[in-house]
Amino acid sequence: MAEDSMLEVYIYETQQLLQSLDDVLLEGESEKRLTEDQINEVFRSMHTIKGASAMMEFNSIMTMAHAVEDVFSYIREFGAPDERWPEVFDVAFRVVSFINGEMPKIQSGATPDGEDPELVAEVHKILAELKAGGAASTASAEGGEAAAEAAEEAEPAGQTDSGEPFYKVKVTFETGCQMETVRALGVKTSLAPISVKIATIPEKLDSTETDKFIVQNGLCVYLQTAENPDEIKKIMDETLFLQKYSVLAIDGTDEEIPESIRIKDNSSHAAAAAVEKPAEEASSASKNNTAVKKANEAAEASTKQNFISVNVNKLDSLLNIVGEIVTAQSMVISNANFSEGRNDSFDIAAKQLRSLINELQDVVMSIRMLPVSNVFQKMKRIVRDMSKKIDKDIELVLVGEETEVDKNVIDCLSDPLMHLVRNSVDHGIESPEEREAAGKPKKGHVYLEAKTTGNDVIVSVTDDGKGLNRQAILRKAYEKGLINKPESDVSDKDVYSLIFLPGFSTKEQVTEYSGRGVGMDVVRRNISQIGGSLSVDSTPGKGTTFTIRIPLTLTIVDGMKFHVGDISFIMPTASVQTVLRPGPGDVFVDSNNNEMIILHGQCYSVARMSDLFGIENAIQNPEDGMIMHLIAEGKSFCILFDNLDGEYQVVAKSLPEYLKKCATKLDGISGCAIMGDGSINLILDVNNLATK
Amino acid sequence: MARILIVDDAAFMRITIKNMLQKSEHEVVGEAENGKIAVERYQELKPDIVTMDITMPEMDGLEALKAIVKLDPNAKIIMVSAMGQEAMVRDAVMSGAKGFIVKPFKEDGILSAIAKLA
Repeated sequence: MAEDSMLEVYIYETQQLLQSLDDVLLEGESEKRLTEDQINEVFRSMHTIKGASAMMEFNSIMTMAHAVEDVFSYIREFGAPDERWPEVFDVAFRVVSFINGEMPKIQSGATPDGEDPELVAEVHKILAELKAGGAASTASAEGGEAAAEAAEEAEPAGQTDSGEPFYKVKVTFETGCQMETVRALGVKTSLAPISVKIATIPEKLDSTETDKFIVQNGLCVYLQTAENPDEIKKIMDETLFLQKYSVLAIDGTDEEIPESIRIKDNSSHAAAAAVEKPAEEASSASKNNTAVKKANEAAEASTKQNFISVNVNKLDSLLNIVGEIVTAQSMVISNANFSEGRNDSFDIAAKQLRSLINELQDVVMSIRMLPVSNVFQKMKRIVRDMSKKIDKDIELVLVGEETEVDKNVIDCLSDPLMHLVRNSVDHGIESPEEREAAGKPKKGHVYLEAKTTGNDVIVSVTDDGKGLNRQAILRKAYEKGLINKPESDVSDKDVYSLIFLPGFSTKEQVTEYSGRGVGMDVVRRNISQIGGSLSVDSTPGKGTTFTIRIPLTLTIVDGMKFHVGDISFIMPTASVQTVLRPGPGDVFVDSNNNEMIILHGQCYSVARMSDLFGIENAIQNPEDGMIMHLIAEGKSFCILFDNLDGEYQVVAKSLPEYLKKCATKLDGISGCAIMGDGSINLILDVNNLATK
Repeated sequence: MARILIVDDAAFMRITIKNMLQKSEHEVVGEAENGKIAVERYQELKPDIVTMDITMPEMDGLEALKAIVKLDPNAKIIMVSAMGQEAMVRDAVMSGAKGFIVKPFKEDGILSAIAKLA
C-alpha cells in the first residue's frame, strides 16, 4: 500500500514537473533564452525528478534528469552564450519527452526501461562545450579563488604550543556512504570548536579527489584540546555514517602529525583567527535578517496553497454514490405517493431534500471539472516540434483555456485534439513559399478554442491554411465508391464531411505526424465514443475549422428511452436522427432477406432489436413498432423497437463485472442506468451497433 | 524517540522519508516544502531533528539551515543531498549541519542517521 501510494505520488509529481518544464521551456524558447528564475526552475525540477527517480530506482530517467540538471547548474552559475540556447532548448525538450514517454510504463506497473544513450551523450556534449567556451573567461576568476584558498590553508602553519594534550582520531566511514571528503570535513568542523589546533590527513579536504583516499585509508584527525577525550567521543558518536573510530592520545611532536600543527617553534596566528570570527558572524546575522523577511512573505504565500490532490477513483465513486442518491430519492418520493402518508410537511421536506441533492450533485461535478488548459498547453509543444521539423512558421493561439470540463472528458479529448492539430499543421497550413505566393503572411496560425454552451463544450481547431479541396475530395470519394450522387447535388459541407468516412485519405504520402495510417474516421469515432460529435467547415484559401462538440460530463447521458418486449433501453440522443412509426409496407425485404426502409429517398437497413439481443416477446409486425434512424461510425442505419417511452437524463453506470464475464449478448451495451422507479435500463453503444 | 521535521519541496521525498520513519519509533511532527516554511515550522514545533533537502524554491536548504542554527545553535539538522552537490553539502557541514545523507538512500541509512542524533 505504501509502495503504491508512493508510486502514485511519484507519477503525479513528476508529471506536474514535466508539464511546468514544458511551459517554462516553451516560454523561454520564444524569448530565445531563459531568465534567471526560469533557469533555477528548470534546474530544480530536473533535480527533483532525478532524486525521486533515484529513490524509485528508475535509472534511465535519473540519468537523463541528472544530465540536464548538470547543464542548468552550469548555466545558472556561468550563463550560456546566446548561440548555445537553441541546442539547450532542443535537448531539454527531448529529455522532457523521453521522461514523459516513460510515464505510461510506470503507470501500468511496468519498469521504465527506455534508454537513449545518444541523447544523454548529447546533453553531456553540450555541457562540455559550454564549459570549454566558458573556461577562458572564468580561468582568471578561478585562479584568484585558488590563491585565496591557498592563503587560508597557510594560516594555521606553525603555532605556539599552549600545552594541551594531542589526540589522534582515526575514522572509517561506512562503505558506500558517498562524499567521504565532505564527511571528513564535517568531522573536522564538529571537532574544531573543542580544539586549540586541528589538522587532518589527508590535509586538504576541498575536492572530491580525496574521496578515494579516505575510502581506502580512512581519515585521521589530529587535534590539540583541553577537553576530556570523552568529549571527543561524544561528538564522534553523533557523527553519521561512521563505521568505526578510535581516539588515541599522542605526543605533540610526533612526526605523524601534519606539520601545520606539529609543535616545533613559536609564532602566533591567534590574532588573525580572532579577527576572522566576528566578521563571519556579522555576515550570517545579516543573512538571517533577510531570512526572516522572506519567512514573512512565505506566510502570506502559504495561505493561498489550499489544495489537496485526490485520487480520481475516489471522485468517481463519490459521483456514483451521488447518482444513486438521486435515484433513491426519487424512488422514496414516488413510493410515498399514497394519499394518507402525504402531507404538506412531507412535500416541503421532500422538496428541500431534492434541492440539497441537486446542490450536492453540482458540487461533485465541479470538483471533477478541470480547465482544458493542460491539454491545450500540450498542443503548444506539438506545434512547436512539428513546425520545426517540417519547416513551417506556425503560431498556436489558445482561446478559452480556462473552460472547465469533466476529468474523463479531458482524458478522452487529448488524443483526438492532438490528431486534429497535427492535421492542421501538416496538411492545413501551406509551406511559407506557398503562403507568400498566395499573398498571405508567411506565418501560419492555428487557433485552438474552447467554450461552453449549455450542457456541451465546443472545442474547435481552426487554421488559416489553404482550406479543403472540394474537387479532390469528390474525386477520391467517387473513386472509392463512397458517394453516388451527382456532383451538383452535394453541398460543400457534405463534401467536407466525406473526409470522416473510414478509408478516406487524400494524402498519398504518409508523413511522420498526421498520417500514421489513422484517418479522420478514427478521430470521429473517438469523439463519438464519449458522446460527442465532430464537424468540419472550410473556405478555400482561407482555412479550415474542425469543431468538436462534447457533453460537459460523461456520466450524465441524454437519452431516449424505449422498450423491446419487457426490456428497456436508453439510446444516447446525440446519435438519433429521427424516430418514426412506419406505415404498412414501408419496411420491405430485399433479395438477401434483409429488412430495409426508405427514408428521405435513401435506403437504409433495419435491424430488429429483438433479434440483436434475443428478446422473445417483442412485436413481430414492423407496423406495430417504431423505427429509429441512427448515424454512427459513418454509417446510417435503422433499428426497430416496440415503443418509445420518452426522453430522460440518466446517470450512466458501467455494467457490473460479473455480467461482463458471463453474458455473451452484451455487445452493443455501454452501461446501465437506474431509473426513478427503480427499474434498470440498458444504455446502448451506438458505435458497436453500427458495426453489426 | 525523536520528534522530526521533514523539509523537502518534493512531496514524493517527504512521503518516502515519512514512510521510512514511521516504521521506527520516531515521530514525524511536521513537514515543510521550502526553507522559509521550514524556519517557521522549526520555531513552532521545536523538533529534535530536521531532515533538510538542499535544492528548494523560495529559500534553499542551506539558507534555512543557517537561519535555524542562528535561532538554535543546538539544532540537529541532517541534510538530504543528491549526488553532485558536494559544494553545497560542504557549506552546510561548515554551517552546522550534523551530517548528511545522499539520495538515493535506504531505510537503514536514514534510520541509523536519526538514531545517532536522537
